[in-house]
Amino acid sequence: MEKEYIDELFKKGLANSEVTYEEEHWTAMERRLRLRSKQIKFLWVASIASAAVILMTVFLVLWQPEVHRHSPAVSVTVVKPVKDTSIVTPHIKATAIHADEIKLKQERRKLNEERTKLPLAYMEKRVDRQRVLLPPIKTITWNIPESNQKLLVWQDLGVEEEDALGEKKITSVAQEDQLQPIQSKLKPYVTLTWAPDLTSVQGAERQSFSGGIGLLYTVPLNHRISISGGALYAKKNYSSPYSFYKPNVRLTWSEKPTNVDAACDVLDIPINLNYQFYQRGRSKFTASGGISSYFMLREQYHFAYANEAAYDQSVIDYEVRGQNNHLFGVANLSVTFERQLNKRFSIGIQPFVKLPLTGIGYGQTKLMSKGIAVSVNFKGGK
Amino acid sequence: MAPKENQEDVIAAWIQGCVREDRSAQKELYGHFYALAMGICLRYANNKIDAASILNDGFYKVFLHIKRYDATKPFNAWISRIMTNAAIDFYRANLRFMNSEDILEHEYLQSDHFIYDTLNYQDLLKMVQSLSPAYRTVFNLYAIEGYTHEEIAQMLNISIGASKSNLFKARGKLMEMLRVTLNDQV
Repeated sequence: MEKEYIDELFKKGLANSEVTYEEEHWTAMERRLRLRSKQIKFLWVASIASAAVILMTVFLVLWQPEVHRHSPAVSVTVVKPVKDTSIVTPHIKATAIHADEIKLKQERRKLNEERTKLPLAYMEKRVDRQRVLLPPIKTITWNIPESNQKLLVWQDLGVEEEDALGEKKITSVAQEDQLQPIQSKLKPYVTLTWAPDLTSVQGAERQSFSGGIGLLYTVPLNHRISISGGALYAKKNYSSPYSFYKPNVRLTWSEKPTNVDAACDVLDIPINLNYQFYQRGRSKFTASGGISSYFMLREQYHFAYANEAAYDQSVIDYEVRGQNNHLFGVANLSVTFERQLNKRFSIGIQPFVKLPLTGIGYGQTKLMSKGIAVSVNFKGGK
Repeated sequence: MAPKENQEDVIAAWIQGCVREDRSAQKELYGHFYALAMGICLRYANNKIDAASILNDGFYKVFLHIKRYDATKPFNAWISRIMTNAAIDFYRANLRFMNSEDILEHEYLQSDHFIYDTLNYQDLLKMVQSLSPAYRTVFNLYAIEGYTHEEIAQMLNISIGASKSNLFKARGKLMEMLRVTLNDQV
């Protein structure tokens, strides 16, 4: 009887609300809608930019110059001596060489021959002087499979000749520049990184050991500048007084906590611009700057009270899952020392800082991390 | 006042405008349903400031998801449900962070009920708002909106026993406040 009366009293009494319209509420609403429109535009621009980067990457990885695909045969001309008539024995050996490089080296060879009095011309002179028959020139054509053409290396062992006393000597026709290594091409690479750090709430001056592990994909734009993106799974631990917490959902407890310990699982999606400012031999230094988006997978908070015994567990521990995402909420700054191990692998050490651009997590706290990441880079392709 | 049929057409046109994200249509719809929505938010909130936050959280969801509105059902009911959910979301953290103060039993009200019938909207609202979020939410859902304890338990992610317990405590608190009000009047 009493229960029904209470319910009915409030149901009837509150049915017709005495509310007057307030324009300022609509102003706040309109501001929020306008902000959303801006965010949507920004996301469109960011999506288009990301798509452009991905397309460019795919283009760089897959695109091969036309000549690479249509060079089924390579023609190499050698001078074959006629038995017992020549005093000159040219030794030219062709092994794996790329069609372009053969062509280039042949061009260089011609120039070298002109400049240094080519073996052939030299040979002609010698032959003419010693009245021997000029050996006929024979063309040999190798059909080299397309897949092997890149591996081709031209070797010119020089020209072996007998001097007037009958002793053999070799005259090299290869110039020094022909022996220079071929410069490596710009290739994207994958980085596996482990990034231990000390995380704190800005201003709280308490640091907790945290860390993350992840994969990054780097696309070089030129020999100095590259763009990196990827994903890191990070565990962020931090502790601060409750006064640093500015939660959107206000709590209505009678006594505010004194301190909060947080342990959060975070998906960190960075995009960074890298600039290589120093290189010597196999070592190089790179400075990087960029921005990270934090997706809070799980947040666990432990609240401490002045008089903790007065509170039950439900007031002490609090967990939130997947409710707080922060697009471009953290700035990344780092310097990387990288050492090339071989053609495919290199290792790196990277001191870094992550600075807050916005409040993070349930408490909207300004999270800051500094640490040293260790990474292994892998460059694929041929 | 415009005939009912015309008013429904006008609302339908505003809804279409909101689908196109037409700001003037959004404003018209906001103004028209302001009183209904704010009335719900005030019942679920601690105070008017929180109520305004819940109101705009709710309307933001309305504008964001208006394409999902089924035009065959009353718009009033749809918007009311969204406001209720916005209020639950607003205090969701608090539903777990309540003070564990127990009221084991409460005294019955006096039989002269007519005295309480003289209480106005503001008096009753003030009493409901002074309840803790956990008690107030369950009281609103059960006593005013007519949800069952099973539904409430599901909505708030609490046990059926907790829902019943919170309702019992909410009624106890309200009776206490009614009694104080009566004593003041006497």
